[in-house]
Amino acid sequence: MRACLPALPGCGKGDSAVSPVHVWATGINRCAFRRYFLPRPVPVVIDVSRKLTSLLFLTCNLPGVPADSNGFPLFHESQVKDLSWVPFYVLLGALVQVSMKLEMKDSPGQLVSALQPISEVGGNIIAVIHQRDLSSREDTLGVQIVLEIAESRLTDLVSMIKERGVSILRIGKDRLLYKQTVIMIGHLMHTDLSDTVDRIDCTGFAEITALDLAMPAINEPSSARLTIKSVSKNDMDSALDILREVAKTKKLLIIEPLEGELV
Amino acid sequence: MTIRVVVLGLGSVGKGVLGMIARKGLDIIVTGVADSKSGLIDPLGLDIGAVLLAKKTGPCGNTSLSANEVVSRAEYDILVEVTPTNAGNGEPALSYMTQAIERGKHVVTSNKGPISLHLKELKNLAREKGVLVRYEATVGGAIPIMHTLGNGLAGNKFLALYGVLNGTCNYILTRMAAEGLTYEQALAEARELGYAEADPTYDVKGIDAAIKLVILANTIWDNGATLDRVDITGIDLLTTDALRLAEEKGCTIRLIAEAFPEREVLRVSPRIIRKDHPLVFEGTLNAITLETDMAGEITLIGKGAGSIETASAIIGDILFISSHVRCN
Repeated sequence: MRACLPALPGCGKGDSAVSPVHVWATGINRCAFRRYFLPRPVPVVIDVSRKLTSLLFLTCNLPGVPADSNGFPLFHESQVKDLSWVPFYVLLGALVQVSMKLEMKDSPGQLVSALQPISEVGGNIIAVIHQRDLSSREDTLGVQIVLEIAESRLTDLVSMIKERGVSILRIGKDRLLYKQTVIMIGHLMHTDLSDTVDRIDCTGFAEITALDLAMPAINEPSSARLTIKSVSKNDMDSALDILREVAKTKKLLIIEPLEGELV
Repeated sequence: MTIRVVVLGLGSVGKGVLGMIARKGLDIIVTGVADSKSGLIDPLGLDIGAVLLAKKTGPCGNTSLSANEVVSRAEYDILVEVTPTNAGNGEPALSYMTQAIERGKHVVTSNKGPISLHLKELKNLAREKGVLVRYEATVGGAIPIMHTLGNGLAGNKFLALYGVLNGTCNYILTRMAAEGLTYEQALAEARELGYAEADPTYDVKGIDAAIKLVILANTIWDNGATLDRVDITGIDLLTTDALRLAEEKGCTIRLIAEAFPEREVLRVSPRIIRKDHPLVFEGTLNAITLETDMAGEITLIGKGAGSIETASAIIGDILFISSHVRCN
């Protein structure tokens, strides 16, 4: 997995003679960075498959800057405004997943234009869902997006999107946009229903958000309707795989919606 | 040109076929019939009324004449093979068909056993002998699915198939949802109405639907599908509560047969399905949805069983062969 840091305003061209700085890190894909530099920009590649080393930040040589256990300097953007004379990286903050409902003109290029600011602020698009019914008028296009972004950059992003004439109808942290319903039949309580639910909830990418249970009589099989929510379609597929496996080991019958249908 | 047929099997389907041939004046004569115990041959055409009358009280014909002899000795153009299905090895129907093809006779059948097991061999042998094997009645009762696949949608690429292929299950699920009956109650009702066999295992365990799915898959994709490659879940463990829980979400549960050739998926299972979906309907109807590259999505709905309905499919095949023979 390779991730490139976002280009920043002021990052000039004509620096091809400069060798890329490789950043070896692990786990940093959950965080966002801003790169500062002078006198000239340095292309950066982050290789998240390697262990984080302190190599990168030795060049910063910033006495008094706190560092984490990996030697990773921790400071906030606001602290470093005047330190732009050397390339270094600033932790912008942990990434959060946000969902937004956007409404824009239904004309060519609008969607691309609306999504562009996301990469400009270093955000990561996770899902884009077209919602025709969301639009109040025929000439508008409703789109729901889920993105990963440094919390501190969210305000910038909102104003950048608005500048492009796109309305933001709603913004929230309900990142679980995909919903699927399944029904399970069998001895649900005897096979530890809360464990069945936990197996999905502990994934981090999907949750059981509703459970309706019908228990007719002792020793009779009970039935339950489970509502699963997930971040993306792939996550939903993975969650269903887990549930199928659980159903198999616990000898439960699982009834899924018709393939390709969201119920 | 009058077409001559021999009808093997005088159960509900065989009687339906004979009755319709007698009543409709389709230029078809029956030169031989056989049931499990007897046979009759008349090169000039049998009196169908007399055969059906005899069948009411006992064997349809001469007990010294076996079905095998009728197949090998009668004068006919098409063998109409409508004996009971044997899903295990397709016999004795398979031997009757092979024998007829070897004699240069066309075959029309409603028999799922031999078609699901040996479609390729039968087709190859028929090609070699210059005759046709038609089996419209094996899947979806009166629905002209095979004609649609082979003629109406010829040239299309088939991307996926969904079907409600078992009327008994559809009836049971309909009744469980509508009246809150338990599975056992709905099954008992289906039996009383003659929609379910005394031993309903094949229907409710999804095996009948799976056999039909195998026939469809082999017809469409010629992919060597077999029953043991179908992932089968029946409806016999469903609860009334499960149907109610689906209902609360504007959905219901139906036994759906599915094929996705690219992922090699062949599956029969109860699925949650929106109530406004074309595959949701009440009673014993069958339906098949095809996803194609040119025609898009097409759903055929019709009666999936019944004596006259199955006769419709059989007669359609007989007349197809008749016009085909005339053209050549």
